[in-house]
Amino acid sequence: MIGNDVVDLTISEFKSEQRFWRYANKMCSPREQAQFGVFEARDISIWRFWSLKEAAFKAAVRLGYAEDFSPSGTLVVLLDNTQSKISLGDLEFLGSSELSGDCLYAEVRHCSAALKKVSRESADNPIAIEHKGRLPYVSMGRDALYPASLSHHGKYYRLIYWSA
Amino acid sequence: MNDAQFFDRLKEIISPYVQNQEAFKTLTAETRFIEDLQINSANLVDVVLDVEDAFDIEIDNDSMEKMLTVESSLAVIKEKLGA
Repeated sequence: MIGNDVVDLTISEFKSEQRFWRYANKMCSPREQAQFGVFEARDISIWRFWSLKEAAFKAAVRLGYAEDFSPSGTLVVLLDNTQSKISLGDLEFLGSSELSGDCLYAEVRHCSAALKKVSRESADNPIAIEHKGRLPYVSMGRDALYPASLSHHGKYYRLIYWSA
Repeated sequence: MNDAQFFDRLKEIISPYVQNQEAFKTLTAETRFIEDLQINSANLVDVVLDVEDAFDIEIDNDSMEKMLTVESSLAVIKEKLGA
């Protein structure tokens, strides 16, 4: 299963140094904070962690995870400037991050996920989205529902959907 | 501070982060921050930090993660204040 998250960095600036660290302490462990600035600028690192945690949560919900989103309970290890590993309870995910201008995008895949085809959209286009409980699906006509993950922040939109 | 004052103060705090103004007009204790008000999840941390400043309290991570509705947020605030 996959989850995604997008961050518009133009609306994600911190008002002050103090605010940055208060925010960081709410969402990242000391071990994660030690990776701030290692692979990218510090103020991007914090959003890289956030987006990976969000994406992992979405993928976990797809796998039946029933708890609420817990940034501090989701553990991320950055491997380099794009790859990462994420743990949420017993679930393990592989993450990838992409920085393009002021758009930071994260995609996370469950370690055992075997998917035939993954489609990606970056424009808020007329693809029909249906929800079953907390889970979004792309609807492509009768009996064609594909599991999906979508994210919208500021001027950015990302949708992925896949067939297993 | 009475219940109505707590409610009004919290309403003021979340106001800058609300994207669904229609739902905000009819805010109730049951209103959910993400699903109903369409507050971005990253801004939920901002709400928590602003609540800490406004009420001069410290909210631990376990409590923060419960603050998903008006009612649950007010419960956390009152618990931290011993109110």
